[in-house]
Amino acid sequence: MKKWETPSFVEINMSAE
Amino acid sequence: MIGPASRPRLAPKVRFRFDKRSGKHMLLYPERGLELTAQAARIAELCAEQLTVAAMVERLVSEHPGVPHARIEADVLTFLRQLDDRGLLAETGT
Repeated sequence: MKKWETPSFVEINMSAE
Repeated sequence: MIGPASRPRLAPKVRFRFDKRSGKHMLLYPERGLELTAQAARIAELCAEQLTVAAMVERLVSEHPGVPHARIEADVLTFLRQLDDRGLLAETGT
């Protein structure tokens, strides 16, 4: 069974990177 | 407001990319980006298939037997609404 994790994200300010 | 009958797709300004540095999928848009977890990336992929949210949920339920339908539906709706709040979705349908 594939594990389910609550979908989430990290926001990145691309102008610095 | 995104609901089960909505057909969300990524807005034209958004690029769905795999970042080799981090080994994670990202949504890139002007001067910003979102580094996605695996489940979030799967939902972003499904947005390209012009599915309704309900159909996305059914697909994910079939891929994750044993996980309650209600939990997956709630997680998908929450994630899509977060993208919508940032203007990253172009919604068709209601």
